[in-house]
Amino acid sequence: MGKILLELKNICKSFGDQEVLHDFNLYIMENEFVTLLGPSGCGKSTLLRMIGGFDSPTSGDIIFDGQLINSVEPNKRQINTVFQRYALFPHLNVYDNVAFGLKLKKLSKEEIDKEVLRALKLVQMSDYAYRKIDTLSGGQMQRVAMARAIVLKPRLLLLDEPLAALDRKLRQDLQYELKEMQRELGITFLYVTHDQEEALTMSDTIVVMNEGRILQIGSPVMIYNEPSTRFVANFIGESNIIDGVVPQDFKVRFENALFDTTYQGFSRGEEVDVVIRPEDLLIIPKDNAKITGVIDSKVFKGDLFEINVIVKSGKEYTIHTTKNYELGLEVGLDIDKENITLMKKPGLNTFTGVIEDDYFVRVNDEMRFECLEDDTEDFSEGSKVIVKVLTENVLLEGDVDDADFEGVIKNIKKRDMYYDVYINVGGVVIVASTSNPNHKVGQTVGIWVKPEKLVLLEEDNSLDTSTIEALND
Amino acid sequence: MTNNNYVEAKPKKKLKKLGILSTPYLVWNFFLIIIPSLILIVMAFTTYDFSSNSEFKISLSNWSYVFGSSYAKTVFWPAMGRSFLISFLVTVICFLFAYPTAYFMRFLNNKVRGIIMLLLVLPLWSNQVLRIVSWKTIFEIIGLNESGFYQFNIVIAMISMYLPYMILPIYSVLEKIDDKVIEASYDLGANKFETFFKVTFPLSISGIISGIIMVFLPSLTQFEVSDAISDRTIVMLGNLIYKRFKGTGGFNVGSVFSLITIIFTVMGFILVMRVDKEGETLI
Repeated sequence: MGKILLELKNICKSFGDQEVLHDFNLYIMENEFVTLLGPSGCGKSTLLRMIGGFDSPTSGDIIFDGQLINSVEPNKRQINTVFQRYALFPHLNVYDNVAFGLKLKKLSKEEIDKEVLRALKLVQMSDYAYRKIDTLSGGQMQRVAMARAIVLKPRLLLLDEPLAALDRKLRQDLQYELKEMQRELGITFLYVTHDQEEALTMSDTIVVMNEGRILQIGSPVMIYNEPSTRFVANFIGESNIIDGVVPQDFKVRFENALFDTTYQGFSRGEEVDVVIRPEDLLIIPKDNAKITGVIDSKVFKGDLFEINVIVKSGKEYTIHTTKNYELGLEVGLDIDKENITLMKKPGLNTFTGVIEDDYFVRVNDEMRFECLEDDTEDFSEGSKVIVKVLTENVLLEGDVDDADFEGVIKNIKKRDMYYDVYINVGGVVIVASTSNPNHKVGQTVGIWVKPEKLVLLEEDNSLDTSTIEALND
Repeated sequence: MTNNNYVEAKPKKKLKKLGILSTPYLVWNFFLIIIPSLILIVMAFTTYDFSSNSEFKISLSNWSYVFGSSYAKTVFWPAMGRSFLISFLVTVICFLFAYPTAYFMRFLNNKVRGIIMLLLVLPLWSNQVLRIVSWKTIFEIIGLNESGFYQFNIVIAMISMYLPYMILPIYSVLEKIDDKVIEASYDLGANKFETFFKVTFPLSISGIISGIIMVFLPSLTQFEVSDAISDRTIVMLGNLIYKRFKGTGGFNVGSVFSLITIIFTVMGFILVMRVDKEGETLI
């Protein structure tokens, strides 16, 4: 590692008025195995298409090996793609599929032969060189697609959910093979998947995405053990997420019990999300246990039992254990302090505003949000409301004309992977969380919030944790 | 055991029931295709012609008349040659018009494509003879209705008649080509030109062959266009057949002509079946 191979700067992409990627920033090192992980529709495939050259960003730069390649044709990029569902040439046999790119390079027959056979050997398809494509199984087609791409020795290989169409067993085998191949070839892999297990198994770095934004970047271990948001924690495998309070450094209180943690730096009394993985919850005898509950259900999953315990507060905990417990048994729960993850509650903007009409709520002379008619119909025109919006849902726009309103940046604070940008709008401060490091204090920015991300409450409803959950859903 | 038998018997029973539904078509088929074909074969190889009380004698005289006599030299071979030449021209020109059109249609949005599709199919819903007569009138208006232009006029009229049959099968294969396969070609270093000749075109060959067959064969045996456009002065294979079966007396020789065209048709069908096993390009 060491050298930056690919850099994405402020990438935005819209189809019509639908924004798929918002201000996306990422760089990839040489020889790295990076995975874009997110649910379908999060923008990961669009991003891959833009790097491959099949789509261009609405704004922003794609820099490959120090060169701006936004408008470089796909056939002129040192980047190859393994397509979803393989996209092999149905009129050519295995050999000719793999030789396709080499023939275009006008290599000699002997060279082509040598390279094709080497690539086929690498993907263990040597015996199938003269088979027709439609006689191959899914796994075999995947191998051919792989050979066809790597035979050209690309600097960067893009893989768009290459294993999605295969059955579970084969998928697991191929995961290890792919990782092995990447190490052997020394090619940088950018892998796209919605399968968290795949991402955790293969990647050096995982980029968790949702709704066109990066939620977290980190090693698989870091992403798994220290998810930065509730979404990441839930998306990366099952989690118990509990509301807690930090009374002091290295402590957290939840379920009316005090636990040791490894965390410091939260403010006193700060509300946090406590994340505990099912396999980290230990079942102990109920005497002396800090948390007790009753085993409510039990499912055998082949290599472990998934047990649900309902504790006193009524909350359900999911536990993975290899031991078989009886239903209805009263048990205690314990957690090692290294296995407790604390997450900041997502940032929240709260304003008081006035309902202007069915579609707008006004906070002051300059700040006015568009809202959904469904949300305003409970309120009469002119009534006072509390407006809540998560900082991560406040979107910044360089182009002021496209925004709901504009403001001047007065402060920027770094928080985890984000920058919290404080913006003054006619005397009221709104905070926006963004992954883009390029904002400057004093700069005028456009601000907009998708109407569906806005929550309107009656004025006397003060914030409690349930509203945060509503905002997260 | 009895239970087993019941389970196995069920689908067969169902098939039988469904089979009844196709009976009208099969009966129709039998009386209007199988029987007439047998009659054609009988008439081609005998002197008996079903319309008169002629003698029934197995003979190759009809064939020797068509291929061997002076009739062959003065009428049959020239008509055959003209038919092939005109059909060839019509097919080639149709292909040159059709391929770019079909290729272009692939990239249109559904609405525009629907309109073009409608424009293509619309003429097929009006009577063919009416369209031929319209062409005749057009040639008159623009001053091309002279014997020197007849062959040219026939070709023009036939192109307008058969063009949709070339466009539709080509479009139907082009439309089925996976966009990702085209992208894969670019991804592997091919430019637009190379992608077309190494991927798109080879993948559309089955549609092209279907189109060729569907234009060439009907062109070969048409007689209405040449009759109407040339006031019966230009004789093609179709005209020969038509003349023989109009009225009585020429059935035996007419059967020979018909068998020749049937042979071409079967050859064409075999060719299509070889390149397009599911028959998806045939309309």
